[in-house]
Amino acid sequence: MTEKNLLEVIDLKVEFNTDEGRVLPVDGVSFSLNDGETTAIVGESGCGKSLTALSIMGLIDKPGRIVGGKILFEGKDLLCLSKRERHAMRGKELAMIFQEPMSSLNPVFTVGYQIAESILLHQNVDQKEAKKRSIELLKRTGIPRAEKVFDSYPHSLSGGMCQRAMIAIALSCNPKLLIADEPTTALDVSIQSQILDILHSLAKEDKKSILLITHDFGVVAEMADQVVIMYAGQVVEKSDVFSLFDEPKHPYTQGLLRSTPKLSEDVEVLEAIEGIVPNLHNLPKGCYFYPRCKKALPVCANERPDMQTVADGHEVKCWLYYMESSGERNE
Amino acid sequence: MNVMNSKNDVLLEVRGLKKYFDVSEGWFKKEHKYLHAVDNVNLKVRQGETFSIVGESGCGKSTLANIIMNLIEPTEGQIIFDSIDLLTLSKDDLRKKRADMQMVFQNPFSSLNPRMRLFDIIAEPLRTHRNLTKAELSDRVFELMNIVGLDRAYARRYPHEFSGGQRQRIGIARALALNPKLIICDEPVSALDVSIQAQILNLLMNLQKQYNLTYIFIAHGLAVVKHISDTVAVMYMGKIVEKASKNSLFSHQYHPYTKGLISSVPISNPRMRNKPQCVQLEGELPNPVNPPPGCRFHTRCSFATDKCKSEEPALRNITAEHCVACHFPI
Amino acid sequence: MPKNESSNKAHSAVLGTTYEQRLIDTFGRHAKKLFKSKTGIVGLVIMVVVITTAIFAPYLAPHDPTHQDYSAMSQPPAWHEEGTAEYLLGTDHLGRDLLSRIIYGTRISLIVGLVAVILAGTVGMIIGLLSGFFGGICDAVFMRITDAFLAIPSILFALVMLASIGPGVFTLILALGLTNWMAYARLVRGEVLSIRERDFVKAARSIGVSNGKIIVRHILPNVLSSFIVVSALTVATTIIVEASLSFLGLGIQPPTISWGVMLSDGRDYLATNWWIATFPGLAITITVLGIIFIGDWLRDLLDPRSQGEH
Ligand SMILES: Nc1ncnc2c1ncn2[C@@H]1O[C@H](COP(=O)(O)OP(=O)(O)OP(=O)(O)O)[C@@H](O)[C@H]1O
Ligand SMILES: Nc1ncnc2c1ncn2[C@@H]1O[C@H](COP(=O)(O)OP(=O)(O)OP(=O)(O)O)[C@@H](O)[C@H]1O
Ligand SMILES: [Mg+2]
Ligand SMILES: [Mg+2]
Repeated sequence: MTEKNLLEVIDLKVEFNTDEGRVLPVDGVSFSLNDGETTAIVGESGCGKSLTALSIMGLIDKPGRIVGGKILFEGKDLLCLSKRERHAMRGKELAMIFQEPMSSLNPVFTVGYQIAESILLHQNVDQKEAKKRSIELLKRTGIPRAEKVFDSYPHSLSGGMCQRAMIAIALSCNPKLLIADEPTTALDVSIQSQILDILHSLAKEDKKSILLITHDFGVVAEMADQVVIMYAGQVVEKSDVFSLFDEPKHPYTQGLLRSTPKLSEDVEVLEAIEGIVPNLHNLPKGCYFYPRCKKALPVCANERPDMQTVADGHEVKCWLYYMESSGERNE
Repeated sequence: MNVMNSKNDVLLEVRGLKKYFDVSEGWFKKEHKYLHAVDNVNLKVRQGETFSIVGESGCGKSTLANIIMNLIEPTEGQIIFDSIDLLTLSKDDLRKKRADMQMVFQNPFSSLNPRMRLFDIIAEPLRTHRNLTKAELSDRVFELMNIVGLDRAYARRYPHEFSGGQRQRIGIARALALNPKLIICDEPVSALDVSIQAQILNLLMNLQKQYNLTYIFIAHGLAVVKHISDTVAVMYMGKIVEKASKNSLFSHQYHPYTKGLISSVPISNPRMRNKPQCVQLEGELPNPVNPPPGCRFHTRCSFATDKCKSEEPALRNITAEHCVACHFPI
Repeated sequence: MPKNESSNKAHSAVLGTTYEQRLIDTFGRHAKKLFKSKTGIVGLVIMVVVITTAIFAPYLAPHDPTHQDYSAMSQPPAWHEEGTAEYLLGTDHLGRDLLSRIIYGTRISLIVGLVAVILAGTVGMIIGLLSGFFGGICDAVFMRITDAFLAIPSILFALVMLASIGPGVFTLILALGLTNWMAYARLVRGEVLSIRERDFVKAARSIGVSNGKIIVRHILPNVLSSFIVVSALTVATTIIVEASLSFLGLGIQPPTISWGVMLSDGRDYLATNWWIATFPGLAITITVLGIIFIGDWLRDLLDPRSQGEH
């Protein structure tokens, strides 16, 4: 398996030192991403999705700190590299697109300049060649009149256009892994589906590996091969997309899937997950999902479950599956 | 509840409503430019129904809601609420009439005054319109908190101590305080987490049943609209392009824009992912200051003909409960 | 009805505790906040000392501040070789005890600083609120007036006022108040413009709350924190401007004592008797610092966010 993995995150922990003490917004996250596949990280606001992505990029900033785990990219541990080596990897091997397209572009430079800059930085080409490649990239992301957009400033473009430009910048050095942090959340449905189409064709035609962060199961169903569900800083379920949608195992995943209204079905009353996401400063003693869980067992209140394999390639962190699984309680 | 109206009585009617924002630039050689945010909108909302307005960002949904709420003045048009033309009312009468019409806002973080305690926020409409004793007031506030599922122990907290979903509950309690007939919900769940959205939607639907409320529900998420509405109007660049009962609209769309909108919603089923889309919305919204002549959608429509480029289609009935503004409905 | 027990349970687990506990907590937290903020504590101590000094000046001052001791003119402070313990901070050129004069000077300086700022703040606040909230013609008129006042150099304006009405504590306060309100008006107007667009103001309007109440209940409390910070800074500058006006001979007139007067007295002796101007200057610096620290702390105190868990 390991040779096929482009990226493997093992037991990643990110710590924040706040006024009220230490918190672990990312607490033992493990998952892997196969070469040429799309892995989606799904979870609600604040569950640590962005921090996981930023850790992979090496962009965790001051109050935050990676305190444990490994991030293996093509077999080498990124956390052991020097600052300079990591910097060199960014853009070239790893690239990221962000949620807010408008604010991730620098307003004082033209879009074209920003794309060409990243090409010039990492590749040995001259200005003219860089411009040519930039325009090609813009066309690749479906921008009509790419030459004109090349000379525009970000404020004169719509959110969708800016997001395309961001994708163009991310693709400029042909990275092996593209991380997309909620690339469509800020956009309208019609634009969202256009951007998803671009990502889809990148994944299918160019065989790009994509780590897609989202909270929309529709986007997951459309894009992902593997799915990682996160709750309060932990991975609660991992599976390939088909078995996840066919048979979600974790009560949280089941709740999420049932509580989103869908165009294809009619339900009288949505099955909501009651309660709210726990505060990181005040996490429950047992399973983090216990206070909201409808299927909770007595054991859930006091002890945290471990990851259990319930089917081939389908793992879940829930006490409900301890009986079924072959593994003993490992305490 | 006073007089129970039957479900077919029209509670709110909007006629020929227009709002043009003056966006002229320059101080001296003033060239008048207008942004047609809402352009000739007509609609009827029946007592007890949920009337949804969907459309992409910037199509004028909030502007329409704000005009109905009398928060901004329309350029032209009539708003008839409960058989009274609101725009002819005096300021004082209007203020009294406001008790029957309330609003729930999109952003739960900016819709509550950060310096007011929960109790005072919910009590504010009561203090403004009703002369209650202290005991009556706190009874009513606690009753409202109970109705929306907030613990009464929270009464003295400030908004920042609540999560988004809880704040939205506070906003709903405030809107319910005066037993309004109509509640306008401007994207009440778009800013919330997935697992919280369902809680709020269920709450809104329960309240509607219990108090015979009428909702105008603004959203850009079509799945949510399908779940909650009775009637749906689709807006595009300030105009209503299609309006129908929910079932009729979701079973067949006559306007290419509506069709495109619905088919661009990702389907929550990985086995259907490569299903070809019948209509794909291409391109983006044109500049609202210079809307295209003729049908405003023709620049993105794959069926557009010369007629669409020059002649503006009127909203017309296809069936009794389905109207569309398109020359060549599909 | 979705009165869901489990959700309430979860809420309580997250947001904690009962109402009574929280009330106690709130007091505790204010105190904790103050003690946590070292500058707040320093500010508080300074201000308590300064205000007690002003109130109890006659009891604290070792000498009559106007008494001239011709045997001890221009005496240096006590720790200096030529100083005596009788005059701790030395005496001025007329043989008056500097310490006593500083103690008495606290009264006028504080009154002038505070009252002038209250005057300026009130005028500026009202103009800013009205012009920001109502906009349109009201805004245009008020802002042009503000601009006109801003265009006049404030010292010049104060000078003209003092020269035409005649110097004195009251005129000084009036002059300082009238030359300082513009900054408030601009600040408040700017804040109001952004707060006015927030949804909670829209919500209040949609409820039918009257404009007056919207201003008082919704806008004012949200402007207050930046207002207080600026006010603290302005008290500071006002004390200094009072000093410079007095320095020019147009402020407080002898025999009334203010720190500014003392500064101006000392100006001729800077080279030879440095202490005459230095100690009142030091008093001004320390008080100004105290006020600024207190202002910062007050802003935190007024902000409900600093009381909560977050
Ligand atoms: N600079 C910071 N200081 C303190 N806590 C932080 C900081 N940045 C992030 N956090 C905390 O880390 C947690 C995870 O944040 P993260 O940004 O990864 O969430 P997310 O899953 O991306 O959420 P969203 O969907 O809202 O983007 C949050 O609870 C947040 O409060
Ligand atoms: N005060 C204003 N002055 C000028 N233009 C305005 C003003 N308010 C809104 N607009 C414009 O009117 C159009 C409609 O805005 P509106 O807020 O109603 O859109 P919306 O449909 O609610 O969008 P969203 O989904 O983003 O909330 C937009 O193009 C907007 O830029
Ligand atoms: Mg994020
Ligand atoms: Mg809106």
